[in-house]
Amino acid sequence: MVEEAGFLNFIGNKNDDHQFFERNHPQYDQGSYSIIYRANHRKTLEIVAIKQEFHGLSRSTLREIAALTSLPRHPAVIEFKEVVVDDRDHFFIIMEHLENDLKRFMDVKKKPLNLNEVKCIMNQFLEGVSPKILVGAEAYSCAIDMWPVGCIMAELLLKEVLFKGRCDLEQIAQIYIVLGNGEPDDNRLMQKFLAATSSTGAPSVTELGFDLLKKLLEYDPEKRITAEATLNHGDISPFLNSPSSLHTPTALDKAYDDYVCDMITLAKSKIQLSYARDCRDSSSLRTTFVLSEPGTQVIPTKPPKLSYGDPREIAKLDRVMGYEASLLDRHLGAKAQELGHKTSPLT
Amino acid sequence: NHEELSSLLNKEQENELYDGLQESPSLAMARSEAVEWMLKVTGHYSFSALTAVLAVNYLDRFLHSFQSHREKPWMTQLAAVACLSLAAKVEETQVPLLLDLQVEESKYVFESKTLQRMEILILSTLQWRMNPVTPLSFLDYIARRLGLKSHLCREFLR
Repeated sequence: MVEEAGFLNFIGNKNDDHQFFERNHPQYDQGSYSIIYRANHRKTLEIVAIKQEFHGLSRSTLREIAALTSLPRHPAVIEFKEVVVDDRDHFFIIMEHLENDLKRFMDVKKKPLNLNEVKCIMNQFLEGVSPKILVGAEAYSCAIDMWPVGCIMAELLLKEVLFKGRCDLEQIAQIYIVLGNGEPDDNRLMQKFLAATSSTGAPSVTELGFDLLKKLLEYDPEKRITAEATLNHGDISPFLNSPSSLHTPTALDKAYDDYVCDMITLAKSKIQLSYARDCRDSSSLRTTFVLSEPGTQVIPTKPPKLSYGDPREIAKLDRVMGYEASLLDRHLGAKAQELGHKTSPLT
Repeated sequence: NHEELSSLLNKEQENELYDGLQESPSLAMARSEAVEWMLKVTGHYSFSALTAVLAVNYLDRFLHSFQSHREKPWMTQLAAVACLSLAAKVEETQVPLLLDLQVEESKYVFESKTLQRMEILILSTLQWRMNPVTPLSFLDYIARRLGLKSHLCREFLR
């Protein structure tokens, strides 16, 4: 339970010392599905982060914890402690507390990161994804998905989220706006970076860096650059050979090092979360829409599959795609207006 | 890449419920009803095959570890709903609400609160190991080894 009595806010089960916490920070972070508190364990006084879930256990939290617990214990991996359900059916996820994460770091830092800082974070981040760390991970059959690595690299450079969608559809619209519909369009992405450089002073990306970004943000997962190849990419690899120079006080101060550690943690959880989706990225656009069409019923006990040879199926696919395309177009039209275009970039 | 195959074989777990099912016809009956129901709902919502496989995997592991109440008829059904919900959360992009999941003539209908608590009980019983090696892991491996990359193959294996 959460009691808002003066400065005292207690969380957990009063009758169980081991599941009882005291809030020590007025308000930490609030999202739409959860709120995060900082608290002390009442018995051990250990500082923890507590995430309260509003509607039971959300999909993202479940995936996050499942990913975290499947990784071997590692100082750079945030520790999941337990789930506490109180007598009023409130859900609390107890995690190791980190003073800073990458998002807060970027919010606090007024100037955009310089290229070296971005490379340094990317490099540490990639080490985190390397097979070395994941060897003990429980089960992952697909290659690690590098798409979110590209998103984070772009975010580090732009100092803003690359694809800002509030729902799946908007997210897809955003991706089309930035990367183009169909074959990725380098020009649009480049324009975004040029605009950021002139307006906020974001560092201008080198040709090599842009090349890496393009390869990370490749639509087809078969063609997308792998973690291993990224480590050998010309834009990143020079840093691998001289990691010590990055940690000298002149290059990075202590606080920055801490932020980098947190960044790796964040990155790892993000990558873990997405690996499950890797194998079907390229088809997810189509299949998601087809499978979510109301009234589509597959005969029970048979696994759903799409028959592409059946004309009725093709007609249905066309209809759904047409419907989604018109929705998408409306979204894109609105977005395009915001961005100063006269017509939707799709048309 | 033999490493991947041997790692899959290493991580694959036996179904420990098997003996229990041989010994107890009532458990076998309850489990088979629950699995049948889960497959119906999987069809209803067009969930992927992996979602169904995961749901059955979670249910079997849960029934094996949590023996005290498994003879109660509603318990297996409650576990089945929660396992299917967890599998959908792990695997699907669109997940129905807990109440909406209880379609296809389920014998009992449970409140969201009850199901949410059950989800946590199952997660902790399974120690949050939600990505087990399944037969589909091997199919996926074989398909990749054979270079079956076409869209149709992927859809078939989903």
